[in-house]
Amino acid sequence: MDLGLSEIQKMLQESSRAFLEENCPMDFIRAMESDEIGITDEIWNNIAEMGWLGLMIPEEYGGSGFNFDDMSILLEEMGRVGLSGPFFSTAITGVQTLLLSGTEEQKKEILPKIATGQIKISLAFNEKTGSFDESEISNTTSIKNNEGWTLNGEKLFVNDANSADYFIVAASTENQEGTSLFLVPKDTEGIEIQKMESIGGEKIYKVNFQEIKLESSQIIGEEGEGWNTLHKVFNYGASGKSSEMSGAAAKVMDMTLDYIKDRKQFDRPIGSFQAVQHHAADMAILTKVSTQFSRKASWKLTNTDDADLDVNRSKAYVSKAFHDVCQISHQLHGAIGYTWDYDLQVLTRKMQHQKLAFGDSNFHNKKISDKLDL
Amino acid sequence: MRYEFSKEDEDFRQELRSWIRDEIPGEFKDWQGVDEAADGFEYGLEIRRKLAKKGWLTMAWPKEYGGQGASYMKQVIFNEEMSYHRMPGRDGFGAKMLGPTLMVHGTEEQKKRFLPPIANGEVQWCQGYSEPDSGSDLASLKLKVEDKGDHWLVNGTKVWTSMAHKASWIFFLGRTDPDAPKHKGISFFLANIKDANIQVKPIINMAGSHHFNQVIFEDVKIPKDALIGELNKGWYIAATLLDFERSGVEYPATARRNFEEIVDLVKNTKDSLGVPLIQDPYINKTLVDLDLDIEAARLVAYEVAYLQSQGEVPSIEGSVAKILGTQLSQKVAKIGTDFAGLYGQLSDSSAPFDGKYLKQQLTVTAYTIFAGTTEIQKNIIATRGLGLPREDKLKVNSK
Repeated sequence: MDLGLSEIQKMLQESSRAFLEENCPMDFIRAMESDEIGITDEIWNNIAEMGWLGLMIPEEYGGSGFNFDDMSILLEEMGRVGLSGPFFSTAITGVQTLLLSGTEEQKKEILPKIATGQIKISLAFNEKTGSFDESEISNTTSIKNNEGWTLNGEKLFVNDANSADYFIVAASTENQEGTSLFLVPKDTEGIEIQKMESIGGEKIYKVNFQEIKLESSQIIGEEGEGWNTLHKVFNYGASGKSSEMSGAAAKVMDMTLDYIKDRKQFDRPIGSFQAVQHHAADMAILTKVSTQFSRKASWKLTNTDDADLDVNRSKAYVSKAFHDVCQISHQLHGAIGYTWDYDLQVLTRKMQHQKLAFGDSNFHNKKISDKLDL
Repeated sequence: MRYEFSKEDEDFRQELRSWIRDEIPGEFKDWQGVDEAADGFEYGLEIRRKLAKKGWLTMAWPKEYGGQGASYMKQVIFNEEMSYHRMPGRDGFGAKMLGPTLMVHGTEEQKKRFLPPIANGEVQWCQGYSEPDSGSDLASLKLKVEDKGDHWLVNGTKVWTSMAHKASWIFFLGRTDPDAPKHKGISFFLANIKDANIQVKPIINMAGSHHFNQVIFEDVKIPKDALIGELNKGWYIAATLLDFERSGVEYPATARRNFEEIVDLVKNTKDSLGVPLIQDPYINKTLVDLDLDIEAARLVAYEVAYLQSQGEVPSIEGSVAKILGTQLSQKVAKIGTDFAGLYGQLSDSSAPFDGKYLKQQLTVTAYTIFAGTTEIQKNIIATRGLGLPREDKLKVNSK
């Protein structure tokens, strides 16, 4: 048992915090909410140069070959400042899908360009119900022909579709008995995207795929076996969002402590009142437990083959806990925290996406129930 | 980062677990444990002596005192397995509290006299800290100890003294300087509780059990060498940081066993339409929440032990573990009762688990109160952990 960070993780934590605090302050995060891409070219290039995009990409494909638990430390820091943008879509779900099932050609072609920041990826999975089971794929089909497949269907909740160079599209097979994954360049004819308005500034789109001609080289993994890959990718997604949220919870906690130590009523800092202190203690408990859940999940994903239950527990707990932390923080901030100008609300709005992405508490509670055979 | 125990630690877990399963009378899954404060006392002592022979009772003690200097993680495993299996025999007062205190503060004679019986599992100690007017504000304690030249004279009352009715010795805090600031006039003593002038009066708790007592000292004479450490330093001696894990892992470990037992029964109990209760979405969700609470308490307990193993003093983590663990105990007891409809109020054999969790519900009400209430723990988190100002220490200019 070693619940501390490795030297590399500590270094990553320190350097990323320093970079993000300096380069992505709250006014930048606010500006990115209305920015089309959600990140500037300058920051994106910096992120690439620092090796963050290629963190999990093996050295042979131009990355630095670190593990997902290392990445989770970086995600905590991104959560801390509230940086969304296309990083997660590309460097987490995009990279993991290709690493898990991509062909040698696909990996050679794409991974090095992800590492250098030239290529962005977007995962097109969700459809109408917004769930994360295989049954979600109901209208996107891949019909086989001599050259490859023809893809049709509409995807919803596609993150960063506008900035992506490639989509990874999940479609049912012709006989409806499985899921296949395809790598589809965004400039392919027949793709239309339409924005869905998100409350936290995430770039979320509807993507319509109409009569898309796919070659046999565009499939990722075996035909009909895509769900095995997606299930694992969603684990990385859920675990990664837990890490973001536990980092963000720690930040909300810090903001709250600063405020209640400073704010005076009845001639004393409100942080001296036990009623306030006990709220603060509750936040500390929720934050501490969230960090433990999310780090354990990322460690299990990195080092074992049976991480499902820990990922489910992490996402179920942290999604709820982070919401509670935000709520308590607003209570302690009083009226000021309720205003648009005050920064707390930015993280509160972003929380909504984080807690729903890759399954909310209800979804993961159900999985826990199944795994424990309840 | 590594969220798993070492191979060596896991080997120890397996060795311990198979020893425990051999010791348990009958089937493990039917084993309910015993009440060590009542008719299970002798059985508990028997196991304690066996643990002593195995070297496990005092494995946390340094080697020079016959211990193994066992790692914090090994201690966590020991407590986890013992709690999960409802095994009696651990010695919180003697082996965990007094022994290490004597090692640091006792004279050679005191160590020679008192440590071996603890190490051999031969003696039951109890702890006299709380008083009728001193609960959370323990340093306000008043039990009077006067220096009479060739002996100490003790007068006063201790209360909520667990195991006093089974113990042969008591270690306690007494007021030796009534004029000093409250923390600085307290000393740490030992007394034979069988002294004719010490009266142990039972206090029956609301579950109907006899766990704690009132201990009344009336002109009790104790020898000069009953003082441990320096005079008037008792507050600090009692707070000596001991090399024992204080992770609170016993709460989630106990809860996990109870969880499994409750799930088993809920699966095998049907509602009026013949549907197993486990399929009731509300009951199912309650159990999932419970699983998360158990896991949360366990993760924080491991974190406490990990920090201790790194030579750090877990302040906030210890309080978090205590809060989560004790609240967890109350949740489990409630869930173990509430699923059964009207049967949940019964204490006879038609009740789920013969009313065990109903009784436990009454017992575990004490958990969030003893050893620092939840409110005190939150104060500790807020002031020591988060650096918030203490309300009672604040100087306010009121106009």
